Amino acid sequence: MNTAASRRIGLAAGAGITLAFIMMAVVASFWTPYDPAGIDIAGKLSSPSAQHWFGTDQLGRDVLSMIMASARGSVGVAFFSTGLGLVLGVPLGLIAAARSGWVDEFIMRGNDLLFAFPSLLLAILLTAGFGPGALNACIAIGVFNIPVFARVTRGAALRIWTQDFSMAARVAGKGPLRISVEHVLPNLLTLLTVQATIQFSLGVVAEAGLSYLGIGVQPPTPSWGRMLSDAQTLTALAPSLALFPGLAVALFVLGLTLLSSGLRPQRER
Amino acid sequence: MQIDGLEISIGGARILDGVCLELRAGEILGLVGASGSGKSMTALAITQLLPRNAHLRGSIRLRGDALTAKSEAELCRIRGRDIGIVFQEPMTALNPLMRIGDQVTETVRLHSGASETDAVRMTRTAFARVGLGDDPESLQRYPHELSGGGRQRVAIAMAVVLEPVLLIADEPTTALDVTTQAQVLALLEDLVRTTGMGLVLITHDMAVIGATTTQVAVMHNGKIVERGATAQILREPRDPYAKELLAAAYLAPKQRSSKSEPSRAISAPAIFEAREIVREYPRRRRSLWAASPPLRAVDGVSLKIHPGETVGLIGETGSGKSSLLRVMLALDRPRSGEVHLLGEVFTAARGAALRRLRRSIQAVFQDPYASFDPQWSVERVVAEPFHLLDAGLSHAERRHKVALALERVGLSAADAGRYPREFSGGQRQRIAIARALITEPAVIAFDEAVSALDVLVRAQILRLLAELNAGSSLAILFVSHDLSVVRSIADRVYVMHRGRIVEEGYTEAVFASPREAYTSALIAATPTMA
Repeated sequence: MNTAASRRIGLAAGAGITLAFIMMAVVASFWTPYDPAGIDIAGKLSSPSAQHWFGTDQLGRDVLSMIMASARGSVGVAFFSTGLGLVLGVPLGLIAAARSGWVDEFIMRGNDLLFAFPSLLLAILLTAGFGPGALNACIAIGVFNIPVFARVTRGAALRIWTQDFSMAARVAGKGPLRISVEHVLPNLLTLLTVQATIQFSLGVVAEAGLSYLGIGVQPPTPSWGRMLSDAQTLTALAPSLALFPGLAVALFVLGLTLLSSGLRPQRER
Repeated sequence: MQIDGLEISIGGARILDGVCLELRAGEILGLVGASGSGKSMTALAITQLLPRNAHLRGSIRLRGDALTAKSEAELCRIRGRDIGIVFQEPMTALNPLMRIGDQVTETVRLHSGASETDAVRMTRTAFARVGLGDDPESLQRYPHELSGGGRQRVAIAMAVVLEPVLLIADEPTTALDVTTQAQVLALLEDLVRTTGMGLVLITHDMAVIGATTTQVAVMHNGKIVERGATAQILREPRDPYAKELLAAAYLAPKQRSSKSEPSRAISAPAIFEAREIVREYPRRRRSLWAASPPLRAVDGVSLKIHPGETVGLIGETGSGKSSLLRVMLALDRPRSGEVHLLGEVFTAARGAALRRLRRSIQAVFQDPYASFDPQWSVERVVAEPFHLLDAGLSHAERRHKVALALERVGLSAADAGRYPREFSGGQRQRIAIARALITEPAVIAFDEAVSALDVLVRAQILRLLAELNAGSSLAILFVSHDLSVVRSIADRVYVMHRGRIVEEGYTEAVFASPREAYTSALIAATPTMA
């Protein structure tokens, strides 16, 4: 198949899936088929049916409603953690590239320090210290996005600084701050969009992981990670309980990955 | 041994159209034309290394054998053994992680099935032949330990080690300095003479063609417009395009105009002056305790530019001319020395004074493709130096001034709304000149501003510079490694070598009777059309 056509299909599929999950998160804030926290012991562990499309769990809660409501936490945590990385990491990278010398060294060695920590372990440490919850999960995941964005930004910015047009801007009397904002940053937008999509998908996985360990989104708010951990003991009894949240995470990440590779600029001739 | 009736046409968009070439043993065929004329495509067709989607018709024969009928496996044997290839960029043609001797030996073993000892022996012979030395140490070096010329010698050694019947050299000296270029060309000529192979020399430089080749083919839009003996075509070309190309390649030395007469130029005070500039770069520390002495790129350079004067700064790669220019544009701070602009100390200026002085000096850079932010329109690009004005301009005023600047460089006011990527290399360089003119500076510095351009476009840009300079007080600092370009445009020249100015004077005086041995060597190495 034509590569350009397959790229377009991949981009469309990725954008479609991503948009569907975000819509789901939005809709779930107003409406779900059942109350995701509504316990109905009598109707527990029912298999998928016309009333409960995805069945019910061990407390009789509607799995579809829980999946939908979980999307909110997942999208929210991924969004804010990526945002934190962007807002702090990109300026750090721009400064490091614009001011070489000790400023650059200081920023980048700080990043190395952050990178050296196993991220999940530190996230556990953070939540242990400040208590579990969605906000702390955001911060824990977001902190590790800072060095990622700082490095990507610095690398690409350094390349732009060597181009003649940056030199021309200096001849036109512009300072490093103005050149960073007017010339460097706009030329990095595509790259940063791709990186943000990748970090977003990693954020989705990380949130699921933290919730699985019980230190992410707290009950009664449902989350895919905790649904998976709850379903673990019941796999023999109700295998579909693990299937749906697992599928949700996998499909969302697949969509984001397709989207990021579709957005990536094609290799130039 | 000959290539016979080579005729190619490539499908889809037609890139080559009925190309016929012929080359006998021991001959050098020059293939000349502007970029995009199909020179390199012809070379790729001969080696059958065309891109996958290219369709080929016609026949290519080597010693009567049709190459077009061969299988890929057969072609692999032929390439390297019967046909040697040398590319333009010597750095990317070699594997940076392999010793140069091993790279050549590998070629030998791959194609001849020679034993390790035989292959090494042949490699040493080839190295000796290209002037790299046949002692074991010289084979042990890595590409990064060699200069550009040295790397090109390795590439040539690799191409000729198996004594091919045909050598294709695609712009082999374009990336090299004049003195190195002269050496590499002499080497190629010598190889053709001693081994009797045929050489196809692809270049855009008419002077190289004139100095080396016996036969020449002029290409234009995928067609061969003229073909014949070099001496005859250079003397009286018949095709109009070949005539044009030839006229553009010949750069007349600048006639000394009245305003650059010695008396006037010296009596007027210099508007732009460098005094004893020293610029050093720190080097990697040898160890934690021992710092290396810094690299002195510019070592006590002084130069002066008077109003209305065009001054050439000549130097080879690594001579420090770019470092000097960065200091003179107040982009880098010198370790010592001062730059004076309009009687003020440019290097010490800060804030408002610096902005005021920057208005008086602008620059045009080498690469017309990297000179503009790809996301900016021409209007925004050209208006960028308005940042230096203390009071902002109204939108209408800006637009008016941009339109005037574009018209001055031979573009139209309507071009302001377009993007630089829509323009050709020469037009882009015009946009860059418009940007430099917009603040009405006293001096414009050109850093290798025509080196990336084709001869035809180069001639146009040089004419534009002469027009801008004529009858105005605009001074031009023209930095270049190309002596014939500098000679055609500069009133005075400075020759830079290893961070120092080794010679200065009026252009014709320097070119006619250089005092320094280095300058004479540079002039002697420059190929001429005569």
